[in-house]
Amino acid sequence: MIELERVNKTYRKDSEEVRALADVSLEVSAGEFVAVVGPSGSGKSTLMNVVGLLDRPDSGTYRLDGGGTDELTEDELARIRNEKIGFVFQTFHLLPKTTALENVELPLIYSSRSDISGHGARALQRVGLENRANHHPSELSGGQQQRVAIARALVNEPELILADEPTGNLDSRAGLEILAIFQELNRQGKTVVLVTHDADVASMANRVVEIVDGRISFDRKVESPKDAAKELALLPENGGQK
Amino acid sequence: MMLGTFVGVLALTLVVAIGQGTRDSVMGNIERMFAGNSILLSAGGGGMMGGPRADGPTTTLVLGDLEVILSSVPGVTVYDPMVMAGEREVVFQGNSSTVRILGHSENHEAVWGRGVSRGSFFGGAEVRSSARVAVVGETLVREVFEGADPIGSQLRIGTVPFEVIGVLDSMGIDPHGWDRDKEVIIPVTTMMRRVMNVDYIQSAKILIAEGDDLDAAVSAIELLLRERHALARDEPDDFSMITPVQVREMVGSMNRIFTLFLPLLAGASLLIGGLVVANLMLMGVNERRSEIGLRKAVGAARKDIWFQFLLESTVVTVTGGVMALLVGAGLLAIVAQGMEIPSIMPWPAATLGLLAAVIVGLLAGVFPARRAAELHPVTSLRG
Repeated sequence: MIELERVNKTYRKDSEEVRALADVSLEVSAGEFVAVVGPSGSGKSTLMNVVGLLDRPDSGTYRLDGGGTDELTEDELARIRNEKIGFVFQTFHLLPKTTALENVELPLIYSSRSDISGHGARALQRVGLENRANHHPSELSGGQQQRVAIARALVNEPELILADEPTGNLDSRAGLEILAIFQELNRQGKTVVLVTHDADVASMANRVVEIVDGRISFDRKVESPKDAAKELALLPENGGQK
Repeated sequence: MMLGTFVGVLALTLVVAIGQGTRDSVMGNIERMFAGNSILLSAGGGGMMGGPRADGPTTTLVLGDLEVILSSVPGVTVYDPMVMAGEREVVFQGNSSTVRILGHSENHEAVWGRGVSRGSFFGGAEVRSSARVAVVGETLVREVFEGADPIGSQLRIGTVPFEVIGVLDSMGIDPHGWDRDKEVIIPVTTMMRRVMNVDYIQSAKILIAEGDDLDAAVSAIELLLRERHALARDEPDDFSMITPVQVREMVGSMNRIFTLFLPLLAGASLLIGGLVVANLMLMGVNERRSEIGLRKAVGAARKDIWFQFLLESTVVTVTGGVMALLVGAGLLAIVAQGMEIPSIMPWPAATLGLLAAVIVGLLAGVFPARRAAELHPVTSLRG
């Protein structure tokens, strides 16, 4: 699914050059659940941006789902993002003045597919929020908002889900609910790559990759990933719903 | 944001409408006064009729001049002289009023287009005999005759008794503000001999046959009068003439102001409205960075972002424009009634204004749209 080969990315920050990614090579197969960990500023966000086709490497190659991406135009990259990748952000990034359903249907606007009716409602069903379709984000809890965001990420049936600190703004209960959804999606065959600084979250994945100072320092399979759904059941009843 | 275009289109519409309404009203009156091929001849030099003269009224223009003009200048078909006495007191059975008295000939209706609605105008015989007959306006009927039929009644003008034989066609208030229905018309000869005791006339309107050369007639009349008045070669004319052509040229330049300058002004305010829209949209792009980044992340191509922003800015300006047209139509009806000018919605100008609103909207959106479309999703999504 993901093939990064000797990727470099450097940023200018206040007339200083920061090497965010240095000679990074990484392969992720379809169906894996990878947690990308590392200290802040380590380059994990840059890695996500490159993998998500939101940014181009300065050198090196990136093949997504078998296709090269280096020669593609901005618009072609946008098309691939629309069809193959679903994003989930730490701050949800929902449009505030629109309903949950309209938020979920946003990617459909830019899709070139013709049969898109009902996809939005179905995606909301997958995250259990079909009865909140007409609510605005302000009327939803943090966990619910993130679930809407996940539904949005799923609406075009992408193969790859990229999540950047998806539980960072959520309490432990809501966070586990979200992770349980990711694990279920992974079981259904989706490739999930998740950035986190939280070791507990990382333990839910089946592979952990650590980045320090722009280089991969650690890449190991997880023997027995924790089951988020089971963890959820173990939480006390009144465990903080936001 | 909508306010800018709203004001611009509103200003454009109202300004053009009021301008055109005023022009149409003025032109209408002028057309009536100067219809067809005619020459307005006035005693006294110096161009415009009715101007004050330092050394008193010119007394050299006489009825005889007009008779000779009719017989010897080719193309002249008919003339009507005028002697006007300013405000004079008229009395009927104890009711009095101060009105304008005008002395005209039996050709008055043919030359000026105003006849009587009741009774009859005086004819050649009455003019030749300086008869004491009068035609009165509707305002007099109302004020002096208290609504009763005035025909056959005796009206005293100054110290002279007249018999009322007709009521003038109603004309209302003219552009100078005079009530044209508060007039009395008597034979010019009667005016000269019995009311004012003069032997000269003040002006005359001379009609030239359709298709005849107006300028040639003017030259011929000038030559004739200079000879009859025994003017030396270096002496200026002691009379003046004005033709509809000259009047139209005068009005034409007024017209140019209405049709060019004022819409230009309105167009400028439209432009300013557009600049306001552009500026606010640009600010908006900054604030909506994360929304734009999100849309790009889920697959919006640059052209999608372009379209979104151009659509937004155009909708804003067009909505402002449409609202302006609606409000403008309403305001126009009110203002036109107050100004007593025709209230015609200037659709060409209004459509142009709306079109301008669309164009301004598009232009205003271009710079912000480009900014938004070029925004790097990474920088706009972080945080």
